[in-house]
Amino acid sequence: MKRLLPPMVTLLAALLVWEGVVRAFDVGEYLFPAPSVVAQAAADNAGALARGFGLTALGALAGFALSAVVGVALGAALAASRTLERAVFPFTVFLQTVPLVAIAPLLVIWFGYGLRPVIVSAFVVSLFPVIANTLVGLRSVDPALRDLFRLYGASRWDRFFKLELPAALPNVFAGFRVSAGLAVIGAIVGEFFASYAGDDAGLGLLVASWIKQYHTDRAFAAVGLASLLGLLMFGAVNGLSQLLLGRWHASAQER
Amino acid sequence: MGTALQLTDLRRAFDDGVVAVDGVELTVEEGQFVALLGPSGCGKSTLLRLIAGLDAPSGGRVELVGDPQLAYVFQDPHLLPWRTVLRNVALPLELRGVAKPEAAAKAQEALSGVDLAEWGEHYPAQLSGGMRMRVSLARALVTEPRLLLLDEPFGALDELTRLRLDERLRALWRERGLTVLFVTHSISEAVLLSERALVFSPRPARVALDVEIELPPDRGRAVRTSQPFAALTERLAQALEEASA
Repeated sequence: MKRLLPPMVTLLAALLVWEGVVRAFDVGEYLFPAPSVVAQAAADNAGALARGFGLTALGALAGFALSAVVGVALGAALAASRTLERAVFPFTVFLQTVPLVAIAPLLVIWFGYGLRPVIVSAFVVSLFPVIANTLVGLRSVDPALRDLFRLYGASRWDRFFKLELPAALPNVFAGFRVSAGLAVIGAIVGEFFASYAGDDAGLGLLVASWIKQYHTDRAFAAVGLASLLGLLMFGAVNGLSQLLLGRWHASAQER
Repeated sequence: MGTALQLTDLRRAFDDGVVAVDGVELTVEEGQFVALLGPSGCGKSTLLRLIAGLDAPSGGRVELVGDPQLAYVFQDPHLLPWRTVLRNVALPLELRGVAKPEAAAKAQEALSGVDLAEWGEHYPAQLSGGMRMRVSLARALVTEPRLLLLDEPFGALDELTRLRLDERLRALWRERGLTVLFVTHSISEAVLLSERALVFSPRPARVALDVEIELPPDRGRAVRTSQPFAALTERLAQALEEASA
């Protein structure tokens, strides 16, 4: 309660100011709808929004899950060999610098319309933070602990699972946190181009089509839901981090 | 009692040209408690790492007679923060493939040996510095080593805690009759603990003085305030000063 109350108060205050300003200056609904108008639009389109939320969540989650698995595996592979790191790491930076909006149409050409290009889009943008943070984490293992494992004749397997991976976990989760938000952005951008018409519209397509029709209030509702999705994914990663690291790592301890 | 350890013309030069250890000759008898004394950064730690096989010599030989079970205590506790105290102590056994229940039982025993029997389920972050060092000591002893290497293990602790741990270590040594090499930069700690003290010159480390510590086995307050204790301390201090000059 103590943790939830302050942000709730901020949110409520912001909504009130927003509502007040829009009414006082009589801003057009298609320009900047008041929160009450957005809420009404959300209620009127609850079905489409709920389906959109589900679809986008599916795309973002699948993309993020892929990033988590592939990113940790790639990070571990790069950490295992300096040569491999030098050969491959510069190109993973490409993942971070690639303009997603430019390649999203390409993804449609490669994967067709539907969920697949959305997942790939979410995957591509959320992969790099996981690789980079996993690599840093694995590389920063205390050398004395490495010595200790050597002294006691630890196998390669034990060294990875009992030393390197747990030691890198706080970094891995730092990567996950960034990735979770990026995956939502990736899914939305993917949907701008790859979403499928009719009932199967994700939040990205809903925003794109409602904006074109000047249904700004509905678009606001969809954007709000997209933000909520990002928050939920961030929260889920944090919760998992708390669960795994809470007992020993400072980053997850309550202050 | 045979020889436990023999170093022959041992040398370690690093890539950047620094020679940490040069021409060290040393024979240690089984069951001896040897203190290695020298100025900070003189290469004592490198010597210990060479003996442990954590570093390879550039020249000369390290011979461990009979391939003894070896344990190493670092300057800092270096515990795994994500493991409980008990599981930290059990780690060396686990890595050697000892079954978990057996490893846990032995770890509990080792914890009792350093008076931390009640603390097994805590995490290292919940312990004081002195307690963490005791956990580290228990982790080294759990493998029942025949050769124990300690690298300034209690240097970061307050005087009283350090004295207690020194006494505990000496008691463990007397109980188990293992060979101990103890690196320290404290002269009084060297005299208090060991049967033999080696004074090293600054880098590269060479043995400047090799002296028997002829004091009663029980080193209580009476011994610590005795004249022979003071005389030995003075002698080592002098040797240290001369070696550094």
